[in-house]
Amino acid sequence: MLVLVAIAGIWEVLVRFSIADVQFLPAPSEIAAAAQGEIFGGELVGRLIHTVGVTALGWGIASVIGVGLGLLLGLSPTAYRYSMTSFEVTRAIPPITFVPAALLIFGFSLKMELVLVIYGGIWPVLINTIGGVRSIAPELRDVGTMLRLSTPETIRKIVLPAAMPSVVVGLRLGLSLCLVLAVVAEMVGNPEGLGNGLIRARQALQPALMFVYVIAAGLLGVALNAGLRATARAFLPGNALKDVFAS
Amino acid sequence: MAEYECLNLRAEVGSRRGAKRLVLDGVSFEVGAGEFVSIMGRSGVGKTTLLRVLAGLHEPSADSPTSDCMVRFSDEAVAGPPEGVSLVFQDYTSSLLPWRSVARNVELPLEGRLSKADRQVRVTEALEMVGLADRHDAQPFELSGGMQQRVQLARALASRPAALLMDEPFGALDALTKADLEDQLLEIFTATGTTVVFVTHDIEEAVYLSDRVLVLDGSPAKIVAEIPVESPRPRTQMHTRESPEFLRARHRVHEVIFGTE
Repeated sequence: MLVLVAIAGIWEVLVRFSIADVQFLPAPSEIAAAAQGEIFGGELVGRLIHTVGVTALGWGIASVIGVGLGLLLGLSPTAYRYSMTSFEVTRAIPPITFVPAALLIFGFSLKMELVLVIYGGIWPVLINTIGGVRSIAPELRDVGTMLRLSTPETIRKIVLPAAMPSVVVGLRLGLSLCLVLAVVAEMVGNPEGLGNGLIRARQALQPALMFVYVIAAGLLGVALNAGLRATARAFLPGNALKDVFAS
Repeated sequence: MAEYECLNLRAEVGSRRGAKRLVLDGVSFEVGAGEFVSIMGRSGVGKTTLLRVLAGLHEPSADSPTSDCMVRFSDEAVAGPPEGVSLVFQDYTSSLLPWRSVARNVELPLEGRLSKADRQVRVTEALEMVGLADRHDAQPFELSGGMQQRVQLARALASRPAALLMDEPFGALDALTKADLEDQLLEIFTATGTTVVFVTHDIEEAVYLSDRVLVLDGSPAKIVAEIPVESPRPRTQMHTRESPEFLRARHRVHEVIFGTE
């Protein structure tokens, strides 16, 4: 925190006294002023709500698909054998490269943004769920078999909890990726949200405002991650998560 | 009355790339109700496979339709885990559910079968039997290895099984803990009258605990010897291990496994 304040201070001095003569680099004080104006009289809050909403909704849908598909592929060797090659190939394509295609198919719309966010968010959840399920100790599976648990019971009581630390890692990676994709989609496609605010500020030659959006997106990322962390901690006590959130 | 009957059992184990190896062939034996039988043999001989067949986790392989290969528990052919059989694994760390407390682990086999109140009674009863009544709310990772294995034993006992299958349950424990757990198991065996099939590679342990020791040998393996242990019960570490009956049985098992020197 102190380091951040110091950096802002140095930045302020450099710009104020024109030591660093960079055009369109606003001083932190100018950014603060712009932020104040944008929060109380401008569009920041509305745009923030839009981006949060799309990220959360897309991430939620992606997580349900990712965990569901991950369970299937993790539990069924046949499904795994037949689909992993195509998944590995598809996964290697950066989701951002689908932006132009999505734009052509869905136009400048919310749909395009959501599709992109969901698509990107599925991968980390899917891959980590498969990994988590496949690395469950065989003894643990045998425990379920010995107790004659039904498949849904086995999934609920044994497979899901055992794979949970790995699933949470996937959910966390997925969430950051969803936010990135939402902002990218807003910058080039759907004219709403933080990404669009950023582009608008650039076009209006308002660098201070631009930085307001950059910082807002950053803070949003931190907040989403903290929220997920708190939720996971609340639902998964004990040592199950000590490795997941070691960082 | 025979609880377990095994006749001309054949079992194959698949390796990587689908190649199958015949591990057991022509294994025949019976285990009476309320009897304590140990299965001994060198490592890799197929003891665990045999126990998994008894547990219904591994399917015996009949090579021809006319084969008389048969595994029965309480007069019913074993197809999948039979009702009334509990299995205790060697590796307690990977067979307890680390996200559940001790009590919730023991409760697992009872869920969906008994009311909440009845489950509590059974859990308390099982934990008392293994001497862990005061660790009810502990998490498995907070316990020592011996205690974790006790939790697994309590979980196996909670459903009041007719037969208890144990796969080298004390193999990973230190000698003192092992002796404690052996005595506790004997107490439980006497108190509950449950049938026990116990896999081990420790000759002393097999003789100390059992009514009979079966020795598995060969590739594919079959039962090459059956040694009764005449030592009277209750047995104690100090006296039983010095008794002539114990020494005679130990000598015999040693002879079968290593040959006469």
